[in-house]
Amino acid sequence: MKHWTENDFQKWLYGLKEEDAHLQTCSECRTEMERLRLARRRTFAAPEVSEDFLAAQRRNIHNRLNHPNRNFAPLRWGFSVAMLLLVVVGLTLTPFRKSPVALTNDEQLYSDLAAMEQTSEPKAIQPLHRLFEK
Amino acid sequence: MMGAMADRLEVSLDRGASTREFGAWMTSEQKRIFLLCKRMLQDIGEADSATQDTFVKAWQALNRPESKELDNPASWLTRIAVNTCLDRLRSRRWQFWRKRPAPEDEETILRLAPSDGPSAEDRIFAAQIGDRLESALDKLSLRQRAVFALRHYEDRSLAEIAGILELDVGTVKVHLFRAIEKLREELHDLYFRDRGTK
Ligand SMILES: [Zn+2]
Repeated sequence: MKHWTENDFQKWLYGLKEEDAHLQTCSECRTEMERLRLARRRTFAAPEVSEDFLAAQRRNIHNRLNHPNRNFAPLRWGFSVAMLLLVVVGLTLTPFRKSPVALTNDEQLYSDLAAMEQTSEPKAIQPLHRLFEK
Repeated sequence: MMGAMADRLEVSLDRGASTREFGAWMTSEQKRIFLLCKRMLQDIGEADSATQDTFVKAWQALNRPESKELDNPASWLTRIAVNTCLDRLRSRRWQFWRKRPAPEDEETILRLAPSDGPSAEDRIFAAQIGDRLESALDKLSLRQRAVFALRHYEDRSLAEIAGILELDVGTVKVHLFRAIEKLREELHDLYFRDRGTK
């Protein structure tokens, strides 16, 4: 007569093995089965959860039910992504805009060109001369 | 036992369930759902968020115009909780920086249930093995963990678990079998430590 092994009992405890003919006749295995049934019941003793904690959790849930969007992460993410896109698009477009100053200030350009024609050396040299003036 | 407690609640949550009805139902299910999330996620803070998410999702689903009457609200809620936890566990794989919860936080929230059965010493020892078993759930795949948690802690039948996880019973058996194999050492200490070897 082969007794049930620990492995057999574990499977039985979790519903993976049915009682068989051996168990009907073997008092030793039946005793073990009863012991395990009690041990199993003890494992259900759930811990106490603090009432304050549960009450706070319920308040949070009620808040979320009353203000469904407040904790809605996708909305927050959506907003952040939209802002980021706006910045990226803004930065991308900026270099292609021509400067309005350069286009409209033609008079300044013509007077600079005229001044360059009247002097024999480049305008950029002038500050160097000033260094040696007394 | 806790699963049975939930099943006894004949909650009729029809369309447009009032906040008060929902609140009462939530109070009756809250601890069970929180502990299930705690066991799945092994993190008090995450379990708290997952429990909140579960009830918010349940409320939203119940208030959808196309929502149907529920045959078994407890199982339906359990499915939402398990899926919420599985989603969190999947995204956690990428969170290498995740902070582990401080044990003292846990102690202020969870305490040993008073019992007139075994001695205080035995209960403390049982709690230690229980903690070890909970930590060992990390060894399981996500599906194995869900199946084992529902079977071990909620004592649900294999058919019920199959219904909750939307799997067939054969698949549930395979997951459970593998889970038990991986937890062999912890389960041995939980059930057979005091027994003389056969
Ligand atoms: Zn025997």
